[in-house]
Amino acid sequence: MRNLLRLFALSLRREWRDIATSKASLLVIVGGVVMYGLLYNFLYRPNEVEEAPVVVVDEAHSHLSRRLVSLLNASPKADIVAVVANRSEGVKMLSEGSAVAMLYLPNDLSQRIGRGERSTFVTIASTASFLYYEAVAGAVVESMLTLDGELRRDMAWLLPAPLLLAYEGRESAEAVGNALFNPTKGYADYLVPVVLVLIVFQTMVMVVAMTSGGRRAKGTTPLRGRRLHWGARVTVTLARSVFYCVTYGLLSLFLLGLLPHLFDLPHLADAQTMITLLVPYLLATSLFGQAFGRLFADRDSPLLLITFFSVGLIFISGISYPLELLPEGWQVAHYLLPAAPATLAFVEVGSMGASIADIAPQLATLWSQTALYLLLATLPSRSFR
Amino acid sequence: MSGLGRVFGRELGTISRRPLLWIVTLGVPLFSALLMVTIFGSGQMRKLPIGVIDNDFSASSRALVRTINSSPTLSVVRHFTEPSEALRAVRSREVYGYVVIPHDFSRDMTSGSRVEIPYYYHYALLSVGAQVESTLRTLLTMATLKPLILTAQEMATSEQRAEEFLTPLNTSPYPLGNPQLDYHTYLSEPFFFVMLQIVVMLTVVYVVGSEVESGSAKEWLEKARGNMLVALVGKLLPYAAAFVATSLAGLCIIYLPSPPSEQGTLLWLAVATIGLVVASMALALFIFSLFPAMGFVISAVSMIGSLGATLSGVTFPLASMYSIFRYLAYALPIRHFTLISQQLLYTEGNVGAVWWNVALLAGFALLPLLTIRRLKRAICSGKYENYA
Repeated sequence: MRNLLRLFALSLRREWRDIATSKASLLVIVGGVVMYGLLYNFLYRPNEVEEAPVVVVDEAHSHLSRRLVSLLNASPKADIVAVVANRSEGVKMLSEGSAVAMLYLPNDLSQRIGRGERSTFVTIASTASFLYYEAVAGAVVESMLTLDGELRRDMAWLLPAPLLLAYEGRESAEAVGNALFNPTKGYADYLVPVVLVLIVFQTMVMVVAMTSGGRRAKGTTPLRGRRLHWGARVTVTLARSVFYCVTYGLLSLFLLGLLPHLFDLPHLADAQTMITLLVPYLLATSLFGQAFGRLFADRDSPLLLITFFSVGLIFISGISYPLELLPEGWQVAHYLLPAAPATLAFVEVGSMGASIADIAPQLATLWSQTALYLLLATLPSRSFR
Repeated sequence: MSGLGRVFGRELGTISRRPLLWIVTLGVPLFSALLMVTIFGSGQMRKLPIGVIDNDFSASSRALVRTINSSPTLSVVRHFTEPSEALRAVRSREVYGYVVIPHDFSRDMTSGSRVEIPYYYHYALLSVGAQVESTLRTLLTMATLKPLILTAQEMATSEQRAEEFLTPLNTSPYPLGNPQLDYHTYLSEPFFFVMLQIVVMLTVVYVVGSEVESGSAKEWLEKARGNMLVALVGKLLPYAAAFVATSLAGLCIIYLPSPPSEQGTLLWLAVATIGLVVASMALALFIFSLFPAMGFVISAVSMIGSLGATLSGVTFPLASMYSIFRYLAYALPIRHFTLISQQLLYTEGNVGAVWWNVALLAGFALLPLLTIRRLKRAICSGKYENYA
């Protein structure tokens, strides 16, 4: 037992020494956590997409078309950058990128309304950026519904008398939408918390795997080349995990504690809930990094694969696309990589105010991953470092 | 044998001994194409689960639930009695939203009293929430108009006439380049190239950096008879060929199931893809040559490459970001490639509007020429061997 405690202390010291003397690892930790954490907050700082540039092709030249243009221009989501007389000018602006949407108001727009018929205009919007498309589509529908209300008053005389009576006797009926857990509908409020959780995973796996790979390249082992028995391997592995959990626990104070406060991101979770979630997340990630790191023979090769996977992690987390709609194979990947259930759980507690009981499935997944990767990280082989 | 041939042959020997290089140059690009093609399933969000709090228990409220259920996007999977219960279900993602049918819904709709139908949607998961919101807004707005349409029918006025009166102005939306608002079209193609840029840049830093760090760079340079340009071209040619081949295969995996309508677009996309591969290699080489310490630069490049997901402008528009980031984006090949490919796909091949993006993407290839001497000096000095 005393030997195991000595080995534990030795392994902790070795990990500290290796990290503190590796400029590459320090760059990943400091650059990744501090710079990335700040940078992503500034990148998405505007939070909402506003003033999407729209060109209007007004062939109607009527009071109605001008009213529609002014309503749309009043919306914070759209900005009418030009009103042109023919389609080719509008199409040119779309293809040049000076507008992301084009409203085509045909020359019979007002005449049809005057005859009591429905009048249709065309909204052509680029989907090159979905947020622009949504902003324009939302602004157009809002303006159109406002105008519909105004037009109904003007068109009432066209209705048969009994129906007009029925219509005028009615009070308005309406559907009222409410956004839950993100009242500003902000993109930063949605995405940045996810990115912050992924930064923890990505940088920690990088550093752990780089350290393992570096040791393999140098041929260093925990006890000067001796093969370790199972208890010793578990001790070394847990010592490494404890080192990274403490280091990243402190870094998480900045990343998941301070930054959400500084940048007004959702931060509904209390300290106890955060710690309950953070402990299995950091443990599972550090053990995953150690198991993964055994695949590499030098310090830098893990980076070739880890960074590549970071983009895919957002998709399999279930945040950007519903988990149940992912094909089964990718759902399995969600349960294998610690970042995926953790991201979901952090969003639930941070943005939605979920309790520990609410995130029990994700906690169970993270503890199962901890057990799985402890096993894989301690399997006997020459790659154990 | 020429210097170029000797370096090229030496590199083929290295690749044949390193399975990791096979995985990175061939496996990773193909895997990422398959990932992006398969991950969104059908590409459409269908039958998203939602709930209902029915406080009316009337034939009208049941009809409203049937109307919601008839939508291909939504499926009513639960009835709640309390808002707190519904909120818990939204929080646990059992449902992505819920509708509250008020007391006396049926009576008030028939009598014409004021009726308000509140609906709630999950916006911490923005893309799902937006889908639920737009579908519920359309369905419920139509439902609020239904009694008047029925009255019109009773009075022998046609339903069409009543609808024309209620919504006299209408719009026909045309989402340019993605008429089905499909997730595949939206994300698969751009993110495949984002991943490609990352892996290409990292590979270049890794293979050149390994030479510098291990001290084998002098022998590499000798093979090229001291000519740094020949040494770099000979070394990177196998990787360029492999990345071009696999990225074109990835392009086929993504587009062959539903190719662009305009003939020739796929061909130009292939040309742009080759441009992206070469530009990414050149940028990575340029950054590495500025400070040829592999441990540092590979970490830095991994972070710079990852920024491509944001700075390509596919998700959050660059015009909505702070202006410094708009300019920063132009330092990444993926931004130019994204603009070129969107132009090809959405405007029937009119690349004239993005000619300067084409020029800048091509211009990346010249970047390493600025630092080639610096890299040679670093190799000859041996200063960066085992640096980090």
